[in-house]
This record gives sequence, structure tokens and C-alpha cells, in this order.
Amino acid sequence: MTEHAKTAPSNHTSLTQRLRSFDLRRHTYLLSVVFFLILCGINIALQPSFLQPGVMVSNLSTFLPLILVSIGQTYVILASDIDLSVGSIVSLVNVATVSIIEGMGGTGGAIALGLTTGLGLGIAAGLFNGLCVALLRFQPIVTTFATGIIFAGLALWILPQAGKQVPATVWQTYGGSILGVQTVIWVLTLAVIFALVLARTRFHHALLATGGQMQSAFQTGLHVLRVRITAYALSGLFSALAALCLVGETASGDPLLGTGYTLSSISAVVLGGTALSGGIGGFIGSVFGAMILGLIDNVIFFARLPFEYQGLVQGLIVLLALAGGVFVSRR
Amino acid sequence: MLRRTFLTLSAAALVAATGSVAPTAARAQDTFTIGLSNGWVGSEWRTQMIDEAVAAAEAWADRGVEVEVIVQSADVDVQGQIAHVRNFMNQGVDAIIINPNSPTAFDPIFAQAAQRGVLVIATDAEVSSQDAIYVGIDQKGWAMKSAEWLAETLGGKGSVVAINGVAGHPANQMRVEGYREVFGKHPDIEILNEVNANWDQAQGQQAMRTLLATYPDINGVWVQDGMAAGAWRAINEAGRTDDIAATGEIRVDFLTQWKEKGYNSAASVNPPGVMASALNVAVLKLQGHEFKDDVFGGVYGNAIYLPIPLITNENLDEVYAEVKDKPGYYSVTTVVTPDEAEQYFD
Amino acid sequence: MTILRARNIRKRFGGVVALEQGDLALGAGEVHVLIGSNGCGKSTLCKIIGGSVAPDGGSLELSSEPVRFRTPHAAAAAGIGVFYQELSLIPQLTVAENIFLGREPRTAYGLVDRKRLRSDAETAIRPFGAVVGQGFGPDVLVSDLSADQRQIVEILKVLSENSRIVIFDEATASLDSKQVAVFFDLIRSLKAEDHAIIFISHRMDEVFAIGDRVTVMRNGRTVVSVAIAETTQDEIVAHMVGGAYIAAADRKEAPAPLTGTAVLAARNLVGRKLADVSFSLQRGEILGLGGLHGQGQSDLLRSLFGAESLAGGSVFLDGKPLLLRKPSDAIANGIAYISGDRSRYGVLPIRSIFENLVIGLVSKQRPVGLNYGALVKRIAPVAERLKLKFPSFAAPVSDLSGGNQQKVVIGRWLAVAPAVLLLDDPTKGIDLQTKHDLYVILRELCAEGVSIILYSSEDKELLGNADRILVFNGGRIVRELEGERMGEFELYQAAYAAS
Repeated sequence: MTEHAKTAPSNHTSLTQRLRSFDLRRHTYLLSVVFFLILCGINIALQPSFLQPGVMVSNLSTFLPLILVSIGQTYVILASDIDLSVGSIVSLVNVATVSIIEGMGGTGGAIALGLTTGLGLGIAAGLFNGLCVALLRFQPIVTTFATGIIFAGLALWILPQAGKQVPATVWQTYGGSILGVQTVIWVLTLAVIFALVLARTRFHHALLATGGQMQSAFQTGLHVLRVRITAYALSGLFSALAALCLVGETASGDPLLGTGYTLSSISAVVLGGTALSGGIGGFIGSVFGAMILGLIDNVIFFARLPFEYQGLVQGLIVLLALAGGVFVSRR
Repeated sequence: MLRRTFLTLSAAALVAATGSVAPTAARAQDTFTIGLSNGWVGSEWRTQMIDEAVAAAEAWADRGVEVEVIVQSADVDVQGQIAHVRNFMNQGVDAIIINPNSPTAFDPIFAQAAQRGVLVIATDAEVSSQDAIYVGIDQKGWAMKSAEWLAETLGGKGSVVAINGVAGHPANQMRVEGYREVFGKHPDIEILNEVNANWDQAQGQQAMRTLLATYPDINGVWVQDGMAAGAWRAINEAGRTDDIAATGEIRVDFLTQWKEKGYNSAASVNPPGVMASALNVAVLKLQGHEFKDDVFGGVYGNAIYLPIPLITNENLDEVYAEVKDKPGYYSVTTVVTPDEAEQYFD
Repeated sequence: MTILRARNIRKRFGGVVALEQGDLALGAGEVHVLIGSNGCGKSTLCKIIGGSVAPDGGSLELSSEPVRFRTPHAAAAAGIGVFYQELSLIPQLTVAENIFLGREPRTAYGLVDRKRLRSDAETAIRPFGAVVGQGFGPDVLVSDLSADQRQIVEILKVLSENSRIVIFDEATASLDSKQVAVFFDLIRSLKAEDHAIIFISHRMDEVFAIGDRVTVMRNGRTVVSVAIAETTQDEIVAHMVGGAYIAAADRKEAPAPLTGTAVLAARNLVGRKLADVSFSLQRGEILGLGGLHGQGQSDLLRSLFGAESLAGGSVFLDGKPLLLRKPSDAIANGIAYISGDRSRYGVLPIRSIFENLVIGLVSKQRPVGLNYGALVKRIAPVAERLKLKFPSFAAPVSDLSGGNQQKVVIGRWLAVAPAVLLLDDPTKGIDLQTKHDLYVILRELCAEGVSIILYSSEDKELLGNADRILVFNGGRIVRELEGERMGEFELYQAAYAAS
């Protein structure tokens, strides 16, 4: 009798408990989804053509590079580190890829070599960050700020001024479709599938544990070093991917191209509900966070605000989105 | 009135032809939407550029054409400015006028715009895209004009220094080519040194001070834009206003000094009105006019170069009288009026 | 059969010798108790065996093979599992994720099998099902768990590794007796499967309940190792303190409380875990809170400190109503709170001993114009009174042993001379000598007129030190024990009566 009386309510509470824990701590991205939908609604009201496939693809092309950089940044932040060099990696990979493709005559082989070298360079830059931070135990903010300057310097050394061009096939393919589906949709889909699979690996559990409580993760026998280095390498990889998208978008090299991505990606990650202290969050929120930042620009444009006020309003909306997150999570 | 100051001659020659072109060939449409994109904020010159373009659009109402402009002006990277263009395209504008942040990066997006039948005009900086045209000044010609004045003023011989903007910047590059070409034609002119002061007035002043200390026998200075005000201040400090000739700039503040102190100076005008000029060209094109075959030139073969006025001591009083009531940061400007713009069309 | 042998293990942290001569011989199928006062080196020895600390010297043999573990991973791979005193849980992960961290079940594609992860966790939790309390399950975040529940997760985590050798470093510190009973059943089944267990605990009754052999350590050295059956509690204690052991503060010798004036009174308090709690606290009295773990005792103390909000009822201080919205309200009225959960509510680990001691003083004053010298003058006597052993005031508090850290937390409040002291299981995980020191100090404070409310998870401690005991069950006071009626039997009877 007593047993029954005890277990019944405890089952009940475990259900409510589960419902309660289904709020923002395990699904921190939900708030960014809500905010994203609100912005979509506003955007549709202001710009009825928003839902046309062509317009959606064109918006996606605009958002895609930041989405990719933000996904990469997420892994580093989940490990309670930070990567201030992503913008420079974007620039470096962009100019290196364009220089290789143009330097080798723009043949199919040159393009393939340029793209793979770009990805490899991004991973290498990320590994370098990871080794400095995890192995040599340098402070992450300062280290990646410094390596960012190095990567930016390398980019300027490779291509001192914006220019060079890649063959039209490159940007025509990027702006067009492969197997009947827009290339940008391919890129986003593959990136999301990759991230989804990654989220189901032991590595991802180890990543959350490392960011949540590094000492505990170490004592549990996790390879904390390897986890942090891998996170930086992933950040480098996704930054490189973003850079390749920018090659497709701009068809040329620009050593200052990536500057804005560093802080934007951190904003997107935070907007997406990932905690800067590590261990909480995930890439889905970052995808929405990046799209929120892009949509804010759209809304401001289609609201026909005088351009003098655009920056002000943009800042206020970002602040509002962040404040909403803080408000709900403190509830 | 002001806008026509320097173009009276060329305009007069064209006025006769105006009547015949008229809206007969025009599309039935008389309402156009034009997007204006500016990717760098932070100089009054750019603000004035947009203000003048907006005013030019409003002026079309007098001719029975409604031109609506949408402005996007913010400090953005190249991708951000591509987003400007996308937004314009999604909005369904008829034409886009852009002061581009990159010469090459807009090739793909301009190709898309062209596919959708959107007219794209770059201004102030040339672009490589063959799907766009450039309406603005020739930066090289701009530099050559003031360099020629300097060479003549020095009587074809002497020692000069140059103070340039940002190394690697495309406009700076073209300007350097321009004055080098001019001075190269005068074997007795020696370029003692060329320094970069990043288009910053204070850095320009500092650079001039150093140059004066290093080379006491300087005769001439070729210096760009706002840095000229700084350079002249340094020349003034050194008490060398009488024996040095140096290029100047076009803001009212400087003109006032120039006039008061009697500098030996001249300034090529890079008018903020270039965007308004481009807008006038755009509207004519949208109305259905076709460009003349031989009108395009420039580095990429897609440029219409606008005339570059030169302010010298001879016309300084006249120019100054026109602008003396404007704020100090106001730049002397010219706009190619719709009537004048018809010279580029058949 | 000896499975693990440690010989002459040495370790220094900076200038402090943590372990001078650690010896241990562990047999298969044996529960080997490691005992000694805090700072004697037993935790360090365990960390060296577990691979999270590298030794300076000595040898370690596993099945007669010399081994040297550079990381916890290496030790785990060799079949050594460790329950860490400070726990190795990730608060942001769920119970299931924590239990199987790094060893998650995987599908054929190599991805984490979430269904199995959950069901495996449920299976693991099952033995504790009836005693684990509310709000526990595989999907609950560890940050939402109470201290005892966390400890259970850590136990399950270590057990799930199925290691040949398992080390439990104070695994029962936060558990109540029912939870301990389940835990001991699990240890016995491990033993039956020939696993070897190292068990560290300060609770003497547990040592005798579960241990087969005991090794006593003192001042970084292994003193003696004997079979439990061949020794007594007194003998072990004598080895631990090296003959200098003083019996626990004798209540009968203590001066009688200055009764008659109610310093603090509570009327009908209702809170998250409190239901209609009323009592009054006399001047100079130690009022004990008893009962099973987690029946609202800590919640009452935290509510009286303003750290947890009350849904109803009123609190009176010296007869005047007192509004407690935040801890600073309580501090301003001379109410201090000390928790045994030092890392959560107590010390600022990376700050210096000095900063930790003066923070109470400073928070009562304006922070402008701090006078270092004057502050040292005020805290030096406190440190002396606490018999605090430390290298310098500037050393980080994390350099101290657990017991000394707790002394620092107490010293912080002694420096501000509070009128009411709220003690929330203050001796959790502290060695006997330090415990004794603390209770002597408490008695002295009472004589000076300080009133104390004491909650302890150790019944003997309550019985030995409180003047009165309020027994809690389900957030209510179910019995008040006083004078003659205050004995072990009565306390157990009252605590278990309603459950």
C-alpha cells in the first residue's frame, strides 16, 4: 500500500519534471526559433514576396556564410573556449583559394585543388588554435585574437589588395543548381546533416562535458585535450566552408572579406541559446541565431527606415532578442 | 545654379539637341524605383553624395517622371553590400546605383541582377563586371589634372613629394599611376619621396612636417583629398606658403583658408554629385534610350567618365562665392543634369 | 590475493607534503577501509591510484605488474574506477548522460544510442528507486539534483564502469541511512563478484558495517593496517589521532544555556519544502534539527538566511518582525549561515585565505578605504581561535584541506560576531579532530550569548551537541526532543515514525 502511494506521485512528478526540463536548458534553441518566426512574420508583412522560392534562396545565400561560421563557433563555445580568429580564417581561405584557382589557370583541376586546399587550410588554422589553447594552455581570447592577426596578415601577404577572379563556372554553379536543387540549399543541408550526426556522437557528449566542467570531464577519463582541439578544428573547417561559399558569391578574393564574421558569429551563437560559459546549447540555435541577424537587416530594409536610423534600430533589435533569452531563462 | 557652374560650356553645346531626344522613345512607364547602395559611412563626402542623389531623384518630378529611391547606407563588408543588392532585387527595383566596396566581388550578383533586367550602375569606384556600367570620374585622370597643373606651375622642373591615401586601395592605385605618368613626362621634375597617410588629415599634416624637415628644397607637393588641408597647415607652420606649390582639396573650410592665405594651389574636383549624375543617366536608360556606341571606356571598358573640373587661383573667387554659405565640410560638386546626360545616348 | 599494492608513495603540492609514505595492499573481494583525519593523505593516495594526480615517488603494482598512470583514462583502462569526494559530474548533463559519460552505448553506425542510454540508466538507478527522493530520473539535469542525489549519480557512474578495483572517497557523506543501506548492498554484490573496493568514510559505524580491513593514515603516512574483525573503534581512533585524541565535547560539562529570552522566533513558516514550521530559539542555545536527510532542515536554514523565499509565515528577531528577502537582510541583522557544502555556498576557492576571512567584515562595511592592517588585526585572533593551519593569509584557500577550508568559512562569520548562527551540516566530510575543535568553539560562542541552529546528517553529532532537537519529516516538525527524552532511540523513532 505504502509502496503504491509513494511510487504513483513520483511517476507523475517525473513526467512534469521532464516537461519542465524540456524548457530552455536542454532545448536552448527554442527561443531563437520563436524569435526567428516573429521576424519572418514581420518580414512577410513588410515584403509579401518573402515566401517566393527565388527570394528565399536569395536570402539563404546571404545568410549562409554566417550560418556556417556560427555552427563552427558553436563547438568552440560549447567547450567553454572562444574563437576570435574565424573572420581571419574566412579571409585567408578566400584569398588562398582564389589565388590557387587563378594561378593555375582556372581549369577544373585548379578549382578542385583550390577548394580542397581551402578546406585543408581552414582545418590547419583551427588545429593551430586548438594546439595553442589546449596543449600550450594559452588563454583562448588572447590566443585566438593573436592568431587572428596572424591569419589576416597571411591573407594580406597572399593577396595584398582585393581582386583576382575565378572562372564563371564557379559562381554560376554556386548561384545555380545541382541535380535540380539550388547549390546553397545543398550546402546548408549537408552542413546540417553533418552537425546532426556529430550531435549524436560520443565526441559531442564529451564536448558538452568538457565545457560544462572541465576538471570533472578529465577525471572521468575523457580526452579533454583532444576534444578542445577538435572543436577548434571544426571551427576552422566551417569557417573555410563559409569562405568557399563567399568565393562562389563574390567570384574574387578580398583579404578583408571576413572581418565582420568574428563578432557576428559569437552573437549568433549566443542568440541561439548557447551559453558562453560552455556546456549548454547546440548548433541548431546558432543556425537560427545567424538567420535572425540576417533577417533583422532585411526587416530594417523593407521597413524603409531612413538609413540614418538603421544601425540604431538594428542594435536595439539584437539587444531585444538577447534580453528575451535572458528574461526567459531567469524565469 | 551651383551644379551647373563648371559644366556650363558642355551643357550649352548639348541643350540644342535636347528637344529632339525627349520622351518619344521612352517606355510608357513614368515611375521608376532606384536603389542606392553605399558601403562605407564615415565621411561627409559620402553623405553629401547620397543627399544629392536623393535630390536629383526628386527633381525628376518636374519633368513628369516619378523616381523613388531606396537608400541602403551602412558600414558593411562586401557580403553585406551584396545583401544590399539582393534586397533591392527582391524589392523589385528598376535600377541599382552602387558605390562599391570591391572592384571584382560583385560580378556574380550583378550577373543575377542583369538576368532579372535590373540596370546596375557603379559610381565613384569602377567595377569589373560586364553586367554593370560605371558612371563617375576617372581617378587616374583626376590625378593627372592636378599633377599637370603642378608641373606647369613649377615650370617643368623642381623637386616634388607625394602624399597618398591607403596603399593597395584601387582608387589610390589609379591616382598614383596618374601623377607618375604626368611627372614622368617632365624629366626635370624629380619625385623625392612618396608616402601614405591613409586619407587622414592629421596623418597628412604629420607626413608633410617630416617631409619638410627631411627635404628642405621641396618645390611642389602632390597630395590627395582631405590630407591636403593637413599638408598645407604644415607648410604654413614652416612659413613656406610662398615658395611651395601644392595641390588642394574641395571642402569649403579649405577653400576659405586658401583664399585668405593666398596659397599657390589647385584642386581637381571629385564631385559628390557623381551618384546624382549616375541616377540621371539611369533614368534616361530606363526610359528606353540607348547608349551611343563609343561612350564606354576605362579599365574594364564599361565606364562613362564624367568631366573633372579644376579649381585654380583663377576661378577660386567664383567657386568660393557659390559655396561660401555652406557648412565647412561641404564639398564643391557638380552634377550631370538630365539634359547634359543625354549626350551619352543616341 | 593482493591485486593492488602501493609502496612508499610520495607527493608534494608546492611546499606542502600531502603524502610522505603511502602504503596499501588491496586484496580481491575485499572492502578495504582507508581512514584518517582530513589532510592525512588518503584522498591524495586515491587520486594517484586513480591517475588524476602524478606521484613524486614510490611504486604502484597492479596484479604484481608495476604500473604508472598518467591520466584517469589510463587508470580506467587498467580497471580502476574512482568515486571522487568532490564528485566528477557535469551539472549541464542529465543523469543518464553523466552515468555513462565517455562510455555511451552506441548503435551499429557508431552513434550514441539514446534509447539504450536511457534504459541502461533506468536499470542502473533501479536499486536506489525507493530511497532516492523526488525529482530524480535519467532525464533530469544534474544541476537540478540535491546533494545526496548527486552523490548517488556519482556512485552509479563508478559502478557502471564495472572496474576490478573501485575507490569510494567519502561516497556516503550526503546520504541518509536508507540510501547508505542500498549503497552497501551494491558494494556487497561487487565484493561477491571478487571486485576490490577501497572505502573512505568518517562515519565509524559505516566502517564497521562494511569493512573487511582497515588501513589508518596519519600526517601523510600509513600507520597501520588490520582486519576489521581484529580491532575496535577506540583502537582505530587512537591510531588516527596518535594518542592525542580528546573525547567529543562533553555536553554535560557545558554550561547550561541562558534560557528565557527568545532571540529568534518563527511562526507558521511555509516554503517550497516547509509546511507550517513554528519554533523559538533561546539565547545561548544550540537548537538541533534532526530527522532523515532532506526533510526541510536545510530549507529552513536557508530561508532564515534569506537565501530561499518563504511563501508564508513570519520571523521575529528579538520580538520584532523581520523581513528576509535576501541574505544581506539577514547579515544586517546579525544572522550568519554556514553550509557544509563548501564549494557551493562557502569558500571562494581561488581567492586568498585573507579575502575569504574578511569578506564577511567587508560586506558589513563600506568598501572604501579598506585598511589591510586593521583587518588582519581583527581576523588574526579568529584564525588562532580556530587553530587554523595555513602557510600565509595570501595563500589561496583551495590549498587548505577540507576541514581547514570549513574553519575559514566559520572564521569569516566569527569575525563579524553574529547573534544567530545557522549551521547547515557544517562538519560534512571533516575529520574527527576538526569536528571536535569546531564543537568546542560553538560551545564557547553559546557561552558568549550567540544562539545557534544546527542541522547535522550525523545523529550522534546532534545528540552530543544540541540542547534541544526538532525532528523534521516532510517539511514539518514532528517531534521536539529535550532533556531525558533526547536519545538515539527517541531520535530514530521520531525520524522513521511517519515514513
